[in-house]
Amino acid sequence: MNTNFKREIYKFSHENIALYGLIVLIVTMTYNFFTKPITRQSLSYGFGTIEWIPLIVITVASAVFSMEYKNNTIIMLEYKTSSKYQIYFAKFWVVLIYSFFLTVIAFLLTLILSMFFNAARYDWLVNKNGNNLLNDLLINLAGALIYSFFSIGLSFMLIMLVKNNAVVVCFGIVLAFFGASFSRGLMQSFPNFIGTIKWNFLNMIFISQQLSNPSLSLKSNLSSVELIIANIVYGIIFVVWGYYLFKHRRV
Amino acid sequence: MKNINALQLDNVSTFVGKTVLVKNATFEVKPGEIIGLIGPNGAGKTTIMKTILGLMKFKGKVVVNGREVSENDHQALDKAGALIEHPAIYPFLTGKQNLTLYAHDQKDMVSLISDLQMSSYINNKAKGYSLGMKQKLGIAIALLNQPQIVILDEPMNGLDIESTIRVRKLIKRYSDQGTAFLISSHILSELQKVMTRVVLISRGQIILNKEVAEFEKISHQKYHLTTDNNKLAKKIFAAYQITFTANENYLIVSQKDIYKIQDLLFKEGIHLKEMLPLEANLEQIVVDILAEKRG
Repeated sequence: MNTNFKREIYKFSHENIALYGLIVLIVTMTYNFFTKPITRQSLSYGFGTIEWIPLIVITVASAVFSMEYKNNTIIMLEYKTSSKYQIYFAKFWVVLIYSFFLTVIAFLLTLILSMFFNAARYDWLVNKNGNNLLNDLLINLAGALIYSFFSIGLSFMLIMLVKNNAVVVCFGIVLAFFGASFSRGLMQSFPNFIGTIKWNFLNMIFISQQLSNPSLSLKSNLSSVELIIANIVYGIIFVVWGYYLFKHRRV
Repeated sequence: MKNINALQLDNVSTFVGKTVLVKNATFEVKPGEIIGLIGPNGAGKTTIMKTILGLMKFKGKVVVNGREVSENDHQALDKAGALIEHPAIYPFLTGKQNLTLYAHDQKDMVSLISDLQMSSYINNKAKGYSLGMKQKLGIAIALLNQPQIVILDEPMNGLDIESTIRVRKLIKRYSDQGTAFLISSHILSELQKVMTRVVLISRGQIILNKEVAEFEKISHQKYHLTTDNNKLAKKIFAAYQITFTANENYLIVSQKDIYKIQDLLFKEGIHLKEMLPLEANLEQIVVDILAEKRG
């Protein structure tokens, strides 16, 4: 596992997609900062970063796998590694670490942008509704990180299922921008089945906002604890399912 | 010390779903041997190679350097190198970085770069490489870390004459040091220059497994003949159940049937214009064997 992990880190650090993901994050945050009204909420959401990180992670995760098939390097990886488990989870850990890295960058950039360009308007340590702004930002980023875990699992599973990077990325975009409204639409259309529908995977995206804003549970119909647990369980199911598909995929 | 085979296949059958791609393949490769795996398109050459590398579902036994390979356990392939279908190269890495990813020893890597004359471009990103450059890099990756067995699928693809000679010399040098090779190639004349044994595969079955010297003897058991009426001669051979292969201008028959053929042709008034033992041309022998097999 150690050798595979080192190889994955080596490859990942040389791949452009990792850098592009970081650039997209910085550009979108900066764009949101300069073009949209600065509110306490936009600061706590890291200038939209909580939506962008999972989307970047889905794109990167699917690319990390699909490029091995595209370059025929999967053959080398598979025969040089004693079991497929090591390949799959080395990649999983690398993307998870990358999403953590993006989260840290998003946190620092939010602080830097607000400090330099918006100095005294909001105090990061003043309490509102029992939480200060710094806490809200950290909680939302933690939510985004948990959702990233879910997204990596989903992306790995989808790339094994549909074998097409573009389809996975499109799915990620739909999920990031319309997932919550689809889920709400479903629950509103079938109010008698809310007890079941509230657990649908599209509803999981609420985690990135609801943790700092519990009133959103009225929309998600799930408590914050339920959301955390459901995200993790979904993440595990997708990872295991993806591994099963990977294990049986012929090269 | 017990002399173990570099590779041993015992009754290996490979499947995709319920379809059998390779049936009961059995052969072994001794240390230092260079095996030419030959067969028509779709015969199962690449499938056999992938099976050895534990990449396919199979029944039977694949043993590499005394250790069994399974679909889920590739430990036995620690000392194996391979180039299957296309070179496995990361285009965003330089040639050197591609090698570094798998090299245990820098010295080994430097020596391969020099042997294959890749120094001038090894620090460039692989995405800018030509087919031949990629192929050489793929071969270098397969030969890294002093492997005990190397599996090469069409290694001469895209190589210029100079590079082909270099690769051939490198294969011979590694073989002299004890590395076993299993090589498939469509350029049989090229393969003939390095291989020590031929394994011929057709429709997923091994139909011949012989030392090159023995294989060449087969050709001398065949005769190449021309008559003044090849069309009629073919009809007569078919009527008397004489095995032959033919094209527009000549017929190839087995040595054992020569006297019978001479009698028959004489009786039917067909004039025998030429009858010569077949020269050892690997391509022709393979074509004949495959034609005979197809009936």
